[in-house]
Amino acid sequence: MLKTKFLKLILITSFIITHSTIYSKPMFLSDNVESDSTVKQFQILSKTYNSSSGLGYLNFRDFATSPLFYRGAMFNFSGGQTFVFSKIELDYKLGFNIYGADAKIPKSSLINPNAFSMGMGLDVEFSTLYQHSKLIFNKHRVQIGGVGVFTSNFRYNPFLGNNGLAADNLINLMVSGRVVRDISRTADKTINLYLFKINLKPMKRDLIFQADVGVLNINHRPGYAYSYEAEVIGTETDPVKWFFNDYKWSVNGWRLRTHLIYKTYNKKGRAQSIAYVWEAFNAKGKIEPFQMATHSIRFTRYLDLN
Amino acid sequence: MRKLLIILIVAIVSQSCEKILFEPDLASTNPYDNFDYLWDEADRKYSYFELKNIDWNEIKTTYRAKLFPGMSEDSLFNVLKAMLFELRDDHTNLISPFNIAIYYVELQSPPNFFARTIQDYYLKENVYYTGAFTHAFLANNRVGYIRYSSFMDSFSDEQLDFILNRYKDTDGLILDMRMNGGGSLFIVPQILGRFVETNTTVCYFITRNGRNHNDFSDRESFVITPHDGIRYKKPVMVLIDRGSYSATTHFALATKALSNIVLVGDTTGGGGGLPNGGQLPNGWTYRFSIGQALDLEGNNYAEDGVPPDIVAQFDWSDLTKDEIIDRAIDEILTVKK
Repeated sequence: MLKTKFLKLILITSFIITHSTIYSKPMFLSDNVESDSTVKQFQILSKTYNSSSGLGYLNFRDFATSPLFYRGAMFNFSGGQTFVFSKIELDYKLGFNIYGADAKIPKSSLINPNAFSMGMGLDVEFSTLYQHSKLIFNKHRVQIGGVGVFTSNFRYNPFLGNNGLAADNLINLMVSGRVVRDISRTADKTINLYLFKINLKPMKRDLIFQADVGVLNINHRPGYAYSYEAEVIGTETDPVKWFFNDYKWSVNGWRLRTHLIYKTYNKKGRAQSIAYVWEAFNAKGKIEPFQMATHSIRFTRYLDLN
Repeated sequence: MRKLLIILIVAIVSQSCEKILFEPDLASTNPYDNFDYLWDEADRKYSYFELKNIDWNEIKTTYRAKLFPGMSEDSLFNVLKAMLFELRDDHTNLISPFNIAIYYVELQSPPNFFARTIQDYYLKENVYYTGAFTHAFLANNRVGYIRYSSFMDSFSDEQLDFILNRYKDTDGLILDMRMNGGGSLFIVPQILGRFVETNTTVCYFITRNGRNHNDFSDRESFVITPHDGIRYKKPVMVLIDRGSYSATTHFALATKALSNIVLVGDTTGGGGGLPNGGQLPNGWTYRFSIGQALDLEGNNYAEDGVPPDIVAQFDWSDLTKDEIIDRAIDEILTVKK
């Protein structure tokens, strides 16, 4: 009974967060203009494919197995599509990352221990950003909306015996705010570097800052003992059940993310951006939390098919 | 320049954010921090306090008193090792780069296995080495002898098919698991699946699931499924001793539910609980048992060792004979009569 109520709550909340911006707009309009406006509102102005790759630094700690932070490097890749309507921007993205990290171990007076962990993560993300005419200023546009993210991390640490294999699943519904500043170069510009000069042509450019704050944070973490006999006796043949035996769902913790994006547009609908993305989450779970923070520089190319 | 400044500010603010949002870094070489962390982890998760009648609080008082500020890492290791040895459990280890704490259950009893005796007087010229197994005919080809020395060593179904096919006309098999210190539990059903005809529940597992020392999960059944291919239906003698530990103890426990398998030799070393894994604030790693294995009646003796059905001891005054193998051969040939 409780489970059903909980699922209903998740569905309703996710529906509200990702769709309120789409369906609330007609409420401001009178009945006779609603249909026309709604049609315009749902007319796709642009459909853009994007692919991204990046390099980053990560920092994580799984209290279920160690009090130590693990720090290392990560590579991430993602691809997605963005649909721009007159007032709304819909975006979906599939991301993949791989990483390796060393334990941050205090200096020993004898022989320093070492431990490393490697892993990979998968992100599936849907976002809706709404732009209201009242939120457009001189060179700034403000968009607000929501993001739904599902993250699955798989880690392996050979130093942790039967607890060496780990998985963390997170579902986060986040509110999003984005500020876009138009920093387009409107005239030719020359940069004098003394030895040589660079001539820059006019170009459309945006500087974008986006912050996402988790409002519904769900995580799927190991149970009390972390390892269970059924995992290692080989009698469970369903791989999902085998891996997640005794994992528990919890609604707790937090997730935050910021993006600072510098985007330039070419002719023929192409664009590219370089972004600094910071993300941190704390999946508290029922017993012991898993915490992770990542800093990455991502290069993205956009292809507008319109 | 201004844009670069904005990027730098965002990066610095982000870094500061996670420092504020996460709990402090717990990395430490302080002996008290490490002692308390290990003691508490064991207190919350170790599975045999009640069965072994261990007063963990009293042990804390005894061993914490041996700590002092500025003590060497070697001294700290020895205090932690002594504390863990109170658990009398080979699945409990402390691992540092300069030493590993191992209780060594097998050293608490006399050995019952001498490889050269088997090699020189039993295996002779018909010995085969197939994957992880050493095997040969004994007793005028009436008995098949198969030595499996470690559950760490894997093998393919085809290799096991080859072995069982080789001994299909024998009156019985001897499966020698003495001094087999364990390894992967996945292999237990892989072997036992050759000796059952129907899905058979052979034992149960329970796992610590709460702060109280007697908080355990519901029983999970260990079910052996018959292998699709070649199976052996005649008597099987499994040889065990105090060096048969962990996965081998699980194997021995499981055979108690199978009427065609007889345990011969000495009680196994134990190791009935699944060990976990973890790390201390100073980077050393540890493990200890977090579960228990129970027989079909719910009895919990696997941690102290699974007793043999037929007791046999090695006679070290005559190294030309392996009394345990001889006893197993007698049993097979007697059953045949």
